[in-house]
Order: sequence, then structure tokens, then C-alpha cells
Amino acid sequence: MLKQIEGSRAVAEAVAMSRPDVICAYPITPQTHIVEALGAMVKKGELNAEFLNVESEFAAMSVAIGASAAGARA
Amino acid sequence: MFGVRFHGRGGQGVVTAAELLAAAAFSEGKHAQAFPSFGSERMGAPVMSFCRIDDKPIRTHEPVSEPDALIIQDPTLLHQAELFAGLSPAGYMLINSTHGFEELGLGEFVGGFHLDRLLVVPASSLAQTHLGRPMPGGALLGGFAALTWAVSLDAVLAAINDRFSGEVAEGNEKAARAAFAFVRDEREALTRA
Repeated sequence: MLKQIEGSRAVAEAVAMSRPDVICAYPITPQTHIVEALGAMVKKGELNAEFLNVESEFAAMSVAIGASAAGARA
Repeated sequence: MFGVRFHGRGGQGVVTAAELLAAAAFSEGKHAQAFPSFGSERMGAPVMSFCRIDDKPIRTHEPVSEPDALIIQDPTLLHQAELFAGLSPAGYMLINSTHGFEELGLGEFVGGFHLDRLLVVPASSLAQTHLGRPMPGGALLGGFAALTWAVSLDAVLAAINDRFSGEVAEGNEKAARAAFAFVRDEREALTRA
């Protein structure tokens, strides 16, 4: 059955389907809802990933690079 | 295409109401979209959101400038310019208030419209009674279903229960049913008169 969901929620579900090992995010408008949804999925245990709240987009990119250097999908 | 514009204040559920309406329409096989206007939103600031409903795919993502219906969640916005901008004489309007049009200072204004298409519903009071908080969104959507028949009450209730759970879902459902009955009775009275 088709279901209508918020765009941000659709992005979050697409991210979850890519099975990331690490999610690093700096939530701020307009992407807050994406990060909120991913955070909720990790907390509920629906998504097995390390969730990191970082302090800037730059820091998020740094974590992503570090995680992938260690072999994780970030 | 049926375009709806919601006016309210930040924190009142203006954005959520538009999303619920789109979800309700979608569940009935329609194409629907909902989105807010982004400005400097904060609690209490005037906020607008939009919803479009159609039988075919909706390509435009512009704000609704010529609405078929207006939903005014906060009557203190009534005398702001641009509130009624673009509403056609055949349009619908639902205002959340315990006062009538005359008391709201709109007696002359509503004369230009179909009288049974403009109604006032005490949505915040209904929400306070059934939900325990004056959040008018659910009640206004129930009233909107009775006013326009653009969506069914059942679809509105399903959207509410999909979005909320527990007491919030239950309270909103009761408020929506009460507002639906209120608007239906008001319209019947107007049509008989």
C-alpha cells in the first residue's frame, strides 16, 4: 500500500536502508527532521549504527571521513 | 485542484494541520501535498501553511496564492492585511473562534461570499474540552470535512490516529467529530434559512 510521508522522513528511511554504521549529524533547519528520525530509529534499535551529534557540518564530514577510513559506512 | 491555506501562530499546529489534511486526502486516493511557508518562525509568530488536493499529479510547489479554502487557526490574525488574499467569492473559510462574524468585525466582508461556505467553529474550545489543550488543528480539520467535503471525516480521523497515539489521538478524534457535527448542523441551519 502506498503511504504519504514527509520528505525528510523519506530521506531518513532511505539513509536507514543504506545500512550505515555511523551517522554523524549537525541538525539544523532545514534537515532537522531527517536527523531526528534517524536518531529515533537508532535509539529504538531499528537501525544498528553509531549516532554522533557533532558541532558543525565540517565536523560531520570529518567524522564521516574518519569512520570510512576505519572501514565503516558513514 | 483544491488549494487550502492555513493561517495561525507558531506552535499552534499550523504545519501539522496541513500535513494531516494532505495525508487524509492521499488515503482517499487523491494526490496531495503540504508544506509551510518559511520565514522567521517562532512560538507566537504568524505562520502560514498550504495544502493542495487533486485527482491528478500536482506539479506546482508554489505557495497557494488563490486558495479555494482558508483555515484561520487564530482569530487575532483576522485584521492583518493579506489574510484573505486571493480567496475567490466561491471559496470556503473556517475560522477558529467563539464569536460570530459580526462580532469579529467581518459582517460586511462575508457578504461577498456564499453564506454557507464561511463558518466560525469554536475549535480551541472543543479541543480544550476533549483534548485538554487548546490545540485547534484536529477540530478544524473535522469542521473542514463537513464544510467542503474535500476529504471525509473518516479520512481525517485516520490521519489523526496515524500521526498521534494514546490520549492525544483520542482527544483530537473527539474534537474533530464534535467540530464536524457543529459545522454540519450550522450548514443545515443556514441552508434551511
